[in-house]
Amino acid sequence: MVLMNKKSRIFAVTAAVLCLSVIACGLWFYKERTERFASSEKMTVAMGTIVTQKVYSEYAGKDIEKINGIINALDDKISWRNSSSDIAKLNSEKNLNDAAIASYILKCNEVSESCGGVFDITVGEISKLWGIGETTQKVPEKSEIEFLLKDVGYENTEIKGNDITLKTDCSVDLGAVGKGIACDMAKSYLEASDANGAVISVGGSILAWGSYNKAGDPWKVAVRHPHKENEYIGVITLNEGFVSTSGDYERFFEQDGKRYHHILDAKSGYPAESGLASVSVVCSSGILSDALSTACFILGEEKSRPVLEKYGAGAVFIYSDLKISTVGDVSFEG
Amino acid sequence: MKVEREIKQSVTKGDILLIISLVALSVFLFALSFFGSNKELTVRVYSSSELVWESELSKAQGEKLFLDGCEIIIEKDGVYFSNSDCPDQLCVKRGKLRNSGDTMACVPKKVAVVLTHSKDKSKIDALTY
Repeated sequence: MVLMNKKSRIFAVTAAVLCLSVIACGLWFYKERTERFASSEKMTVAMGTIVTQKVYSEYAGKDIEKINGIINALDDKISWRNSSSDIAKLNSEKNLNDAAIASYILKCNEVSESCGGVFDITVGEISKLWGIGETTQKVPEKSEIEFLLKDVGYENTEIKGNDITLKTDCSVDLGAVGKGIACDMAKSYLEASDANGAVISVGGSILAWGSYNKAGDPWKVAVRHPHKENEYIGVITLNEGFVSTSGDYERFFEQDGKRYHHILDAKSGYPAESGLASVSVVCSSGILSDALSTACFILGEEKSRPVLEKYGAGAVFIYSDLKISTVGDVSFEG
Repeated sequence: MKVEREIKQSVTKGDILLIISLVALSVFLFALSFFGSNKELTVRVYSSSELVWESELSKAQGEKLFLDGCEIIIEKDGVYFSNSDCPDQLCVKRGKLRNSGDTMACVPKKVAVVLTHSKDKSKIDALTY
């Protein structure tokens, strides 16, 4: 140990105190900027799936309840299983006058047109025939599929203003985009609220909105590992937006050694065979991210590129052999 | 000038090393108190959207919860639905939750389980699937 005289001790102590003060101020400033705002979190079961909400707000509890109400009301409106829903009415009466439903169908039809009709919300009757995930699931006869296919087609939905008419015996199923619509509605509510930020998950369709701290650090959304249920394969980083994933692991069954998943190619009526295990899409609209993730899963990576470009969306393609590829503006770390 | 000269003469390399070591130690301890990670996982159980049970994983290992026809078992490395009288049994097939952010639910019974870091230090905000 080296001994110091009085003056040098004063110098040393002053230097140390100054250094510590500067560092402490820096750390305090950093912590203040990066510490998360006060938040509340709630998990509910709605739309036949898990809904988790984390809202960064002084009034987060109230916001969560409001969003919960919005999601339940949407489910009552668009679920084909609910016989009093608007969609059930449209399917049975082949006609409905409703501005919201008309706008959802128009948006879906736009995606259908962009992807050559492989994604199509009028595939409902064929989905029911397969019954994947239900107790009735089975591989249908080819003739049964062909019989129903003749009525399938987004061009069979005629929309004049808010008036919707089904021109064939098809039925509309908004199941592929319902969770994304719920995220869109949650965003509209949050934009009019005092909340600083929120991350809402409706059955794996994600809305990341606003910020969770003063620094505005990005949100991190993990992508499920297609082969390992309780693990994730990578993380998407985004400042704000919607993330949706379509995967062949969500609902499926096996018959005679072959695996049949729930994502149907509306052109063939059979589960899509694009060599993909999952596709995650990032874009600025919930209904679009849901629709595009399904469409891209069916199309495969190459055919998806122009579609994603058209909507300014990014995507992470995960193949069955776990090869990963990203397209467009998406920040993904595997 | 005289003071400066005296300081130069009396402050040795050893003194400077001592000061740097002290500052470094202080910074380390200070940063630890600010950013010390909390790896403790917490199990939360919800029934019909209400939080009905919550505990740190390590303190609850060996616990069995019976709720609305579901049996939930908590072990050292995770939590899982061991039994349910629901028709599809998807919650039982789901397996064990092990990581922060993992969630699972028995949809027919409206019972949900979430595993999360105690002090919200999870690096993940949401999971898309």
